[in-house]
Amino acid sequence: MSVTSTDMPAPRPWQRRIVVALAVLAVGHSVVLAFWLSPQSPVRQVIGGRALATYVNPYFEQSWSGLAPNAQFVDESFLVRAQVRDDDAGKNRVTAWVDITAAENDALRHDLDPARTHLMARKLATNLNGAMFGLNAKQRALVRETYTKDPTTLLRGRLLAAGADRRAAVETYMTYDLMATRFASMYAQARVEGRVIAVQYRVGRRTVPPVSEVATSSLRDKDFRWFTFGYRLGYRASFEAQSAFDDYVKD
Amino acid sequence: MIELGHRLIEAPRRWVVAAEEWLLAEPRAIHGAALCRIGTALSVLGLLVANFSSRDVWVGQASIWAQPVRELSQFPELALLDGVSGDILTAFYAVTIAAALAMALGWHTKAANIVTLVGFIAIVAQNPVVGDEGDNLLRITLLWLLLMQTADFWSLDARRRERRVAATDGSVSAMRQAWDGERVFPPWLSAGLHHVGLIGLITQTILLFTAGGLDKVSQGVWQRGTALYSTMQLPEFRPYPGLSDAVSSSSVVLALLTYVVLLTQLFFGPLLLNPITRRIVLFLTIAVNIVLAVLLALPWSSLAFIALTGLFVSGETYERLDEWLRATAAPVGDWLVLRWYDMQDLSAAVLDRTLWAVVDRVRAGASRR
Repeated sequence: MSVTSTDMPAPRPWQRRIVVALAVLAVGHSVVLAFWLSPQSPVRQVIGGRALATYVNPYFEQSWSGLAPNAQFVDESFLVRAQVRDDDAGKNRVTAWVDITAAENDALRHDLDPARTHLMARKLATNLNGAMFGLNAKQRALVRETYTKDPTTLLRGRLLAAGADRRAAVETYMTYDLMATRFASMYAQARVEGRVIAVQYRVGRRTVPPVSEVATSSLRDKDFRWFTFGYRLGYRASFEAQSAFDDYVKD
Repeated sequence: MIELGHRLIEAPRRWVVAAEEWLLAEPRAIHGAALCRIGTALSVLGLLVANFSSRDVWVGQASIWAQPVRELSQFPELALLDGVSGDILTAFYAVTIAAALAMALGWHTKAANIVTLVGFIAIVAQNPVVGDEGDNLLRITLLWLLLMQTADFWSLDARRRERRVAATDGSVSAMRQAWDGERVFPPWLSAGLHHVGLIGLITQTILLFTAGGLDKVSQGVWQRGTALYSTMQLPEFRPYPGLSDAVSSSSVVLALLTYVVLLTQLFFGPLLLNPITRRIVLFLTIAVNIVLAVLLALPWSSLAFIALTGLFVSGETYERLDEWLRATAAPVGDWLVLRWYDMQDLSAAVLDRTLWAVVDRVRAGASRR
């Protein structure tokens, strides 16, 4: 079969109709996207947020409310410490707090195309802080408790009992609690001799002073407001995963 | 009255005919599509290269910590890298980098576009924790570019096609054409798909700028022209602290930059309607993205935005630019051709005094031991 690109006959009516139908589909797609991107409104409610989400996910998922550059005000910090078992000596010890975001900040300085791994702890802190805003005061007190013997599924149950109306917020929190525990465990394991048996992390939050104070105050002058979570049972990654993480931390 | 009624009845038919003519005409914006293809592919390439050395922690085995949120993702492409070893990840990553490079060069463009799209999703979606909106933009652009004719200019495919047409009657098998990234569909479908893709990508671009601009204009800090100040104070957005402080120390410069960002996003769509304002908004959008790429360390997403902006530049402008570039580059090419053997001798002499001298010394040291 051969195809040449010249001197083709004029399109037939059915060919024209196919192309117009495809264009109508593209325009219809754009209209759906416009509704997806629009703020909450009665018109959007008629279509239904769930129906729109089903349509756009995953390939056309997007949100341009934070289209770069967006105004951001919050600096976050993620610190970790660990209970480490020294099997030779048969003793447990607690490490000092390690500020992972400080290490990330050093790596970001003078780097025009930073690796995304330099944002891991910061993003975890951002998401944990966001998840905490979804919890009520009683639930926020519960996440300060230690879960090194009981599984964190107990924590989920207790959080739901403390605020059944916040199921989505609890699920979001539990997802980030699990990720932060894994990340903190792998990071601590990469830095210590011995076996990490439990980890504790805390997140800091401070806001940029207003521009009117530019002459007298800067972000560096502001103190973090800390929130310390309870100890969690240490996560043991596979040998390959931990080795790769070790290489990253030690670099 | 009857005449008016007749015209009203006829109007939809005329619109359909006009739409058909528009859709089935010779492909439009092929220079812009080519530039968009190059910029998008380079953006993917840059992102992947910048993260290559930390790929295991970003998206590989050591990213197991991000698995809980990864499991919420609906991309079927994630299965391609599910639980794979570091070596397989490296191979997959390298293939995606090669595909993005091929796409930028326009080498087997359509195949490269498909591999880049699948590879990009499979890699980047592994770790949504550190993802950003630029990822969504790149994915959607790569999707729409699949429908478009992006290799008609500034591509190795175009050069190969020109040579083939010059050497033969230009008639080859459809399979060969498909592999070479040429048009395999009949011209009506090829042009139609290109224009459908163009409609999709252009409306997507206008929607994202409008949505971003509307969100910004509702915030007081954007209205007061101080929005970028706080962002530039945050460690992740101040790669060069001296530069950030210099910009934010001048309230006038800060406000100008803030308003240009706000206005170019908010009015991007309407300003495209007039040739003069279109040039202004495109120039400002490109300039602002270059500034922000440096100021906020956002090079790859800025490049993706610039690539999209290129879609709206007219073919005449590209042709003038192309001629100017060729005229400017020609003396450099001639200079190199004339002195090619001199350059070879010079590089050999430099290597003799540097690399080979060190190699000899190492080898001599090793043999003594």
